[in-house]
Amino acid sequence: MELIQNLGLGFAVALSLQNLGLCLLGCLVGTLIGVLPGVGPIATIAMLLPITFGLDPAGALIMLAGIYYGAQYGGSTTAILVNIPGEATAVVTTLDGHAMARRGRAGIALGIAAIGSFFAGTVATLIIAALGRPLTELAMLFRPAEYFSLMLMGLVLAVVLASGSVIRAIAMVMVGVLLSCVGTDIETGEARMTLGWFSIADGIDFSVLAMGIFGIAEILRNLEVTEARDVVRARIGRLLPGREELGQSAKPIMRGTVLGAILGLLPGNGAVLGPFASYAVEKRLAKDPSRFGKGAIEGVAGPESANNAGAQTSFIPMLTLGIPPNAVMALMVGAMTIFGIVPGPQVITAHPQLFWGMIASMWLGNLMLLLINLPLVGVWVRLLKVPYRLMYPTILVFCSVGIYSINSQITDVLFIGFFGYVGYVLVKVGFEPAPLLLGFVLGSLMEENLRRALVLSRGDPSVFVTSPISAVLLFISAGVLVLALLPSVRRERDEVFAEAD
Amino acid sequence: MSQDPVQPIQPETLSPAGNGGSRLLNQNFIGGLCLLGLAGGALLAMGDLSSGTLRAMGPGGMPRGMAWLIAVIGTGMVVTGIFRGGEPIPRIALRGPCIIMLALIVFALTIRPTPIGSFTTPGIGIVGAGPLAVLIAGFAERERDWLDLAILAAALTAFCILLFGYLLNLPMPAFPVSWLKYFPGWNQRQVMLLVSGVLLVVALALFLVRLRRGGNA
Repeated sequence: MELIQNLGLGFAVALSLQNLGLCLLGCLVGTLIGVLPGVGPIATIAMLLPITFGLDPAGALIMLAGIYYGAQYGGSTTAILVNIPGEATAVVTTLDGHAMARRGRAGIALGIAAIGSFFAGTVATLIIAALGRPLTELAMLFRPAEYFSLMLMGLVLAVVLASGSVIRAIAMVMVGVLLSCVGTDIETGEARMTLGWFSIADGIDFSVLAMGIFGIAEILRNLEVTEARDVVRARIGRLLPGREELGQSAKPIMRGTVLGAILGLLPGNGAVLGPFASYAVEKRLAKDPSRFGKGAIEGVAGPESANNAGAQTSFIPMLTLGIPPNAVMALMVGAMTIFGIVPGPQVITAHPQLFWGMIASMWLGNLMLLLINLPLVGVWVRLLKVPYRLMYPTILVFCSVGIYSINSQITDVLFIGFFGYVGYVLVKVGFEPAPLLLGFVLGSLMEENLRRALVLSRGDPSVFVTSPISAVLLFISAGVLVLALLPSVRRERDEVFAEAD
Repeated sequence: MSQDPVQPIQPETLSPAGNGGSRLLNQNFIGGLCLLGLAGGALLAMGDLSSGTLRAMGPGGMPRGMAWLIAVIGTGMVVTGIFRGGEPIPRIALRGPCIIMLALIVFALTIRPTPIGSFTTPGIGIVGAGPLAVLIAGFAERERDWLDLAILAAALTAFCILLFGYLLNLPMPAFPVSWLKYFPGWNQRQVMLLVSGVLLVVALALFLVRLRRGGNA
């Protein structure tokens, strides 16, 4: 009953004219960048952060969320029509989706992808709504020591579940934490590592770091790749699947939704793993696995549902615990802090409009995406013809104007260039920038809780293992880390990600 | 990661051609050096910030701890890089990054008057800095179509002025302050509208030229 009441409140917020408009805008932008290869949701959200500052927090987060799950829809359009995944989560869709397109069934593939995503989005929204209250109540029991351990576990899981070297990812998390320390110390007011520099006296600005390391660095990387796009010339054909096709897809959609929703809860690449898992499951369950790769509709329905479910449930750790499981959620946390909202379990009680409004808007957004994507697919296809040589100056100017508008500091413009180059070089020497952002966002919270926990325990570090909750969390983190570093597990993990790549 | 586990080092294939087969140019060694450099720099920048005690951690506690841990990982990577090699470092481009940096610097210096020594750059607002950045950025690709870039520059600048300056009311120098005196009795928002209108007309005109020329998509 309470759930319905809460959802009612949420819909009241989400259905306001302004928020509906922002949700639609977010979904449109999300679809756009999802369709365009080379522009990802992380860079886009970082780029659009300044624009949201003039809005109220609920509206801003509704729009940013729309960009994220909108990108999942858009990504599959490109995967099906061009055989390039618009987003990382759409990689699997290229296999059977594009095969279907080549056989003249592009419309059906797009249709089933959208229907599956909508179903998954609806279920995932309900899951978030149902889990929100109990999870936050659990988190309310947390004191600083438990909180510190929880964040540590979040970071460890994020590092282990992301692709690439675990050690390097840990190093990046630490660099992020180190960067978060720059600026004035909250407790003593002493300047830390500022080198007497005025522009970083308040710390490194979150939007500057994110925009540089993702927005600008992405341009620098993309400039090296010569693009070749091969849009399906054939007709898209009928969009709505027939009864037989729906029957074939119903079960894969449900299985994909469950798999995606569970994997999405995990930190790290949760939302990316969902589609792969779903594809593997469908192929194994199929009567005739040889159809896969040649245009099997199950190979589109399952993974597409999984990626959308995962994208939505990855909001759960961020909304209920204040712990971002991936870089996009780190940006959302950053946005919340900019609005003066401390992310964590208290958000649900302190800002119920924001919490429930966002959840309700996700379902509305999914509905909008269904309408945006199916009838308008022709428009999006035409956008694929925009060459990258016109896209990157646009991104560049948008970033510059946006970052300047926040503080009117020209040093900020120079800093996004600096961090952009840093992000570019980092990837060249084998480091992933996403863990850095996670570390940066969680760094100050971790430090605060660590210091507070130690003050409360009068300097006794054993508090982290004598508190049962904290001990369990630390035990899980240590266990997962050891497992991930074991040679045999490591090899298997590499194989999983090699398949994923 | 898919190197043969028995024989991880194959200098001929690992190092880029013409590099003399230096086995130190691998991701482990260089990456480790980067981490060491960062940790060292951070420790220097920290100076004598107090680390405090466990009971009362000082401002230096967390950053110093992190810096040392980073240094440990960095050392490990350097050692691995020396003895077992690693993935080769892909080519790091010069042209793209330099041009993009240049575009950002020019944008930063022209958006409002900035003193550099005794010289002060003209503050020309977005109306000047935006197109400049677009046109400079165009050099990052080997081939560019000036007409396309000009259309983009005009339209994008108009869009930015309308969005950031007019709609969102953010404190942006949209155009040089001196322009206001040419429009007595106008306020800033009206001039913004006029400027972006003119830019849009320019973009449209250029677009028509392009249509007539019959360029490719």
